[in-house]
Amino acid sequence: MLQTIISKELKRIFSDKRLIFSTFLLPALSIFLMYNLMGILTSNRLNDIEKHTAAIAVIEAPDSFKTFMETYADRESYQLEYQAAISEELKEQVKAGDLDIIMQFPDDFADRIAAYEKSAVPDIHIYYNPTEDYSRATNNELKSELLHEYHNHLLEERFGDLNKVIAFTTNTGENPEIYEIKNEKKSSGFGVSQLLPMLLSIMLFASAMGIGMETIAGEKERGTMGAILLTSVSRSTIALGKMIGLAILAIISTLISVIALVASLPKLLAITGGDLTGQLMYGPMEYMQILIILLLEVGIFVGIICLISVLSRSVKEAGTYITPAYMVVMLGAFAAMFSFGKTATFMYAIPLIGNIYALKSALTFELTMIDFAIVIAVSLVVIGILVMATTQAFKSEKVMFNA
Amino acid sequence: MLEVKDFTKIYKLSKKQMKEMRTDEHNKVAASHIDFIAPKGEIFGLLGPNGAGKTTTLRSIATLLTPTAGEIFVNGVNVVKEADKVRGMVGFLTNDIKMDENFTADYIFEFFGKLRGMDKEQIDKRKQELFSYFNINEYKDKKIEELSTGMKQKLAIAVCVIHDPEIVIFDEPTNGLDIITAKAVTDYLLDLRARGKTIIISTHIMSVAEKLCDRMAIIIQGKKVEDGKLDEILKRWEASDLEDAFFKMYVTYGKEEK
Ligand SMILES: Nc1ncnc2c1ncn2[C@@H]1O[C@H](COP(=O)(O)OP(=O)(O)OP(=O)(O)O)[C@@H](O)[C@H]1O
Ligand SMILES: [Mg+2]
Repeated sequence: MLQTIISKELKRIFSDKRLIFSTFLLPALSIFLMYNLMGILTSNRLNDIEKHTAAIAVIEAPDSFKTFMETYADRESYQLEYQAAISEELKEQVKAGDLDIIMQFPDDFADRIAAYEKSAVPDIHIYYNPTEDYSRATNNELKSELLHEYHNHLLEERFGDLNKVIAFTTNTGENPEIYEIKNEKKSSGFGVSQLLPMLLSIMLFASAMGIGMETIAGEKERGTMGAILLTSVSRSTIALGKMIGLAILAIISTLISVIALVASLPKLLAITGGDLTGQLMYGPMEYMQILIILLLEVGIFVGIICLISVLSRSVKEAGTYITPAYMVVMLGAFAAMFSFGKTATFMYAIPLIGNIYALKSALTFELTMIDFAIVIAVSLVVIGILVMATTQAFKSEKVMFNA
Repeated sequence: MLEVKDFTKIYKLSKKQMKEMRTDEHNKVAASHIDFIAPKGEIFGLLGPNGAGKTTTLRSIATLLTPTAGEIFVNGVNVVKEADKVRGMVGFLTNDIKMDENFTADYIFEFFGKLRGMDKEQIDKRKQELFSYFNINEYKDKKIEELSTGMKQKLAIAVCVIHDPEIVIFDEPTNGLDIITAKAVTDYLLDLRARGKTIIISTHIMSVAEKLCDRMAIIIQGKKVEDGKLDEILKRWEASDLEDAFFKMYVTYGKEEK
């Protein structure tokens, strides 16, 4: 009996091309396209900034700067325009993004450099536009590279030997990466653990929500549930059949979305800044934890959606009551995404939210056995209550026939 | 045989329902102290105007609703205490219980066969009988949403009697059907009667009752006001036909609802 009811729930979706498309393919496709697009756009942007020739207006440039620039190694990256005075017009150009930087030397720059013992240190004003990527990037680059070099060049002229004024340097070796001591596990899990629990939870809930409202509230609304209630099949079997059917569909839908997610992982990590080197570092332990947590999450979602659906008179009514639950899931997902550091144990005892946090912790190798046990225990209790309440609702004539 | 004893059903109204029905009452008495017996091998008619309480009574017989008071026995089995057993003996057709339109006629038939605990062989045999009786074979692979109203009603009847129930309950079986389909339905009811089933139908169309029912009960505003055979009723009310008798009953028992 149970099997008959479950298989009808599955057949409803699988015999309808439109439903297959909207429940399985559409979410997967949109994830894949969205991340690839985001990835392509971000990496294009980064390349673009790197290749960009910065347009700089230099005001009152001293001769020493001009001669320095003629031999500066990276001079090709800059397009300098020497101007006599700063003007509102130039500032407007920076605001509009047509000009990246205005670099203004004081008019007595050369004199002050020459008479350094008697006069104040000159200040170069760099006007830039923080809302323009090019301008911001050039500003940083100027200070750390071009002007730094020019500074050293002036010092060298002044003292003859640069070593007289430089006491030390940091990390200037051939291969700066050797100084990075990172936890490979954590760094590989980092990007994924930020996004995956959020995406998975939201996707799971969204797909279960659509189907669940249809199969329970929809059947009530259209009057097709009554026919099943007329048979000798017990109400609990009907309720369970609906719930298991929904859980299976939600899991399939999520699996397909996960595949799409994995397919776009390289691009995804490019966005979040994680790297792929440690990708396969999840062991059987982590995979088992992730799987169990996900299944429990599906159970809770399905329980909530079924309970609300059966208590509602129509799909529309179910929609209005399920939306707040969806919000909670989204909030929990975002909170988990933006939480850093270790999660307090009590968080795992909060139904729904605990699952999302646990998923995140499992992905960053931080889920202890005690936390894991708490999540399992709380989830099982919650699922049990939801299943019982849903079954009870199926038995109530008030609920089923509005009587 | 069906026995309805002192059946009363009171709906508890939710706040929303009270608002929708524009009433201050928390309860709606849909059926009050209704008694009747529908014998085996006969067609019994439950007659009454809209809102009389016909569907409420039939749903309670079919175990979907629990009586507030009174008892109902189907072939001697109490519908509340042994609901599962009763469900196996009853076939219930009503307009507000519909078939899932996303599936084919064939699939829905098999689905309900399985839920009725039948094996593949039994289902196939029954399908053959009923689908050829109602000429469904041609349409069996079509989705139900593509079928005509008449064909849907025939399929609904086939599904309703799939388990060959002893008691067949049809709520307004010919409502909204053209005369050809309506005749197919009434012919089938006569067929069931000939096979010794107990048949209960509800209708507010007096001519249907006159033609079809061996016995009838008339309900007005939740109360049974008359029952018996057609000629007995006509004689008691000195009426020329059932419609005439019904108007007279309504003048006597019906009061304007607030
Ligand atoms: N679920 C319910 N909750 C509250 N009141 C109800 C409910 N179902 C029916 N009623 C009320 O009970 C009364 C009897 O309804 P019922 O459906 O049994 O009448 P009926 O004889 O079948 O009428 P119709 O010819 O319109 O089908 C009506 O006044 C109706 O408004
Ligand atoms: Mg009715």
